[in-house]
Amino acid sequence: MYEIYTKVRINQLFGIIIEYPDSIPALQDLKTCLPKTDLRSHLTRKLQKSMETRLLHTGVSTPDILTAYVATIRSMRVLDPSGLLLGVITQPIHQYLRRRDDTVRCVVSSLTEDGPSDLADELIKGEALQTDENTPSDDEETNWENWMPDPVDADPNKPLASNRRTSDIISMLVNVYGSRELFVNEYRTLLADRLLTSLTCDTEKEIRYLELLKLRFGDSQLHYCEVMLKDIVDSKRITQNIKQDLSLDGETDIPISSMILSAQFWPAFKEEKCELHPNVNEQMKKYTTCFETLKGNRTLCWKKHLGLVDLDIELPDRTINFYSVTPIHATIILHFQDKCQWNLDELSRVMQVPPTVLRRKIGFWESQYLIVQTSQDVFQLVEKSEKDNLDVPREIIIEDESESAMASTQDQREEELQTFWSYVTGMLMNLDSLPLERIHQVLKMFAFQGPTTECSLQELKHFLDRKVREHQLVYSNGFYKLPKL
Amino acid sequence: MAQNVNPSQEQHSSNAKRNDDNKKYSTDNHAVTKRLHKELMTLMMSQDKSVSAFPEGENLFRWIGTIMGPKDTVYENQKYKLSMQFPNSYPYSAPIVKFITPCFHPNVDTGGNICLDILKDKWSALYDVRTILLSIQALLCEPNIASPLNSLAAELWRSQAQYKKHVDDTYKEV
Repeated sequence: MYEIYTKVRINQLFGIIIEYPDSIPALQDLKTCLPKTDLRSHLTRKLQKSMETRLLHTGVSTPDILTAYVATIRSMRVLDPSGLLLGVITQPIHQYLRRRDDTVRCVVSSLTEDGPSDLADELIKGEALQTDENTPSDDEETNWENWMPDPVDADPNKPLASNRRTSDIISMLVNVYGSRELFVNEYRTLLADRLLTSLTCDTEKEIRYLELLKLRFGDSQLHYCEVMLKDIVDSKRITQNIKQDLSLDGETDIPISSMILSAQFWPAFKEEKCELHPNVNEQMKKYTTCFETLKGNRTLCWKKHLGLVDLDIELPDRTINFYSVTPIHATIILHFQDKCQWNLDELSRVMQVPPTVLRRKIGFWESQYLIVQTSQDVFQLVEKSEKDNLDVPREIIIEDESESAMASTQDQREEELQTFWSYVTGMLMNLDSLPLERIHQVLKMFAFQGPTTECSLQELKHFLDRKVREHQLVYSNGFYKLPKL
Repeated sequence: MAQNVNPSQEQHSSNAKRNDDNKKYSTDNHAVTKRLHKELMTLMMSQDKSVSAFPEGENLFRWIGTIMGPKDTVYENQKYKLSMQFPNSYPYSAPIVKFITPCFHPNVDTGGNICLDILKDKWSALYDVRTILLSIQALLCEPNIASPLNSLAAELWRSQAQYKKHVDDTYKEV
């Protein structure tokens, strides 16, 4: 009887896991049955198989897999507090997740996003566990973990230590995906993005999360993030100060707020060139002067392409408010304020933005029916809205607004490789010719420092071979050297 | 004074010392290593390509430097290699710098030893690899004729055409 029941349950196990925590009774039943039957290996096999067919394929989004993963961990804990089953069953999930590139990002964002999320709960719970470490077994959190001695490394004196091993989902996740460093870097990028995209950022909340993360990853790794948060708080204060000063010396038609960031501690920004409207530039100059007087011998280095602009556009027949458009969009419309009609090339020269990019950006205003393309590459401001115009659905490609302000990982990597390149040239300039292994070894010794991660032999070879193709390097008989001048 | 040091003797002693030094250097001198690491980084990041240097092997205390012959001089288009050996007390004492590439110059002897005040009694901890190399580069076009190591070079300096011939004859890329 037990056997039949267990078999049925095992066949349904995947569903049971997904339904967690509603399916706890079913799990309890199964738990009672398992020792009485000899179906453990059957269970593992079955479950792994259903995982593979139902979860671990490209059709499932990473957050879903993560949710299922957390559910699996939790239900396996009910089923088998020793963690043995858990280890075996999650193996394929680990391997699969490792292959997905967006895993770390998903983990980090679900850790910190606003809505209720398993991982965020887990983070907070983790804290509770850690603080309760010295006063065990008083709340329900620790109770269920104490209900059975750990059969694997049976050490009844330290129940909590072994509990932590199986219970700390986050550290499991982090360890699975690779280094903590990777994880922290991803968090840093996300944090930076979030801090910069919302002007009314809730730093209190972020600080709380940071503190939670710090418990896990240690202070040193998250030191950068701490500075970033401090920057934001400071910038608010400084902006307030400067605004007061500026309003003293007269009318400001374009109020500016700034985020003053310590470049050293933030992840690299995407670089883009964009010349703002002269009016705005002038305001910025005033702002900088104010900052300089306020902060002694420090100055501001504007990242003009980043930021958000709130616009009120007054047209003869209506006023439109736009919140949080990008500076480049704002600049375009400001230029149209001066002059109704622009040639694409002309505008691209004034703004120092490549025409292709500019055309895409103008697309935004086209979609708002504020600018139309009258003839090839000539754009005109629409002063009056024609009703019929609004009804005609037009095919305009609106660019992806959720672009990250941070340099993509690839860009950053490129920059790192550039650093290596200067070492490689320095090396070859003085030591003439070297084989690949030697270059890698020397780089490892002298160049791989600071926040830059390593560069594998394979990647280095790839990079150097590219330089050979670009005629910046000569390769012969297994040795790389610089070309003769 | 600088020219009173017997160059050959100096060379011998440093050769003998080298092997023990390799071991010793790798274990201690954290501050020196750090400084050399930093100098390497600045050097690598600098845009000036006329001077350059890099540690020779695993030992951060032995570097190879490269100087491009200054433009509009007899040394133009020539590439001079130098060896640099940093003492444990660096930067409080000067590194030992020698030409590896044979160099015909009033202040450089046939062994490659250089007579330059900042490498001897005028040394200061403020100098670094880059400034040393730049000073040597400057020395190439402005020799100190008054205290020559190579008296033939000092004599010929005035007749640049002949001098140039000697420079070219001596120069041998390594």
